[in-house]
Amino acid sequence: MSWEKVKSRANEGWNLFYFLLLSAVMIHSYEGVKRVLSEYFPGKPISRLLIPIWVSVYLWALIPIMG
Amino acid sequence: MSLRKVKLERLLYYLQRITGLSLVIYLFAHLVETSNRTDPLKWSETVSFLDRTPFHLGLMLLVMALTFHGLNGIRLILLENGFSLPRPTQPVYPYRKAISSGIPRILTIFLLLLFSLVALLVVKEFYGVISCQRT
Repeated sequence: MSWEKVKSRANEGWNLFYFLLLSAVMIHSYEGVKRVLSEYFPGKPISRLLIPIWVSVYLWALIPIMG
Repeated sequence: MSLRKVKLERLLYYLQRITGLSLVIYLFAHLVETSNRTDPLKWSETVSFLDRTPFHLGLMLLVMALTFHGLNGIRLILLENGFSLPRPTQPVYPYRKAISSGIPRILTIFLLLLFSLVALLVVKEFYGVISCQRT
């Protein structure tokens, strides 16, 4: 994608779309990875490991969308 | 585990997991890639770096994985909610698997046909991009 196209998409409509898409994908991927890891490591605190990773990646990915 | 003994639905289950985990890995790489979109110089460097055959091949596999994961996900949602499943019967030996026959099996075959069609289109597109690069 050319820089002109990227620049033309830096508006509120596209940013809202990216925000919703990112949120949905992050929640879905978190749930999926948690389910898979819980099956291989039953009883282990998987959420305690995954939540900090997912939240920090999510917040970091929001910077270019919000900025 | 013998491959001949693996049932189609079981194979789809494994593929769902493999494609899902691959998509998570890609998601993180994609976020790193698109984080450069605020700087024009960095963005053009990223685009020229990614305009190579191995990355196009990766993108082709990614679209295939995404299509498969999405279509199989729809099939799983339908089955989990009881759509297309037959009426429950008494469990009489030899037990019949409701998922391996009737409408669920047709749904699986439809999924595989649709996926094959998309895969063919993606491969065609990939060869188009590669031949454009060579000329």
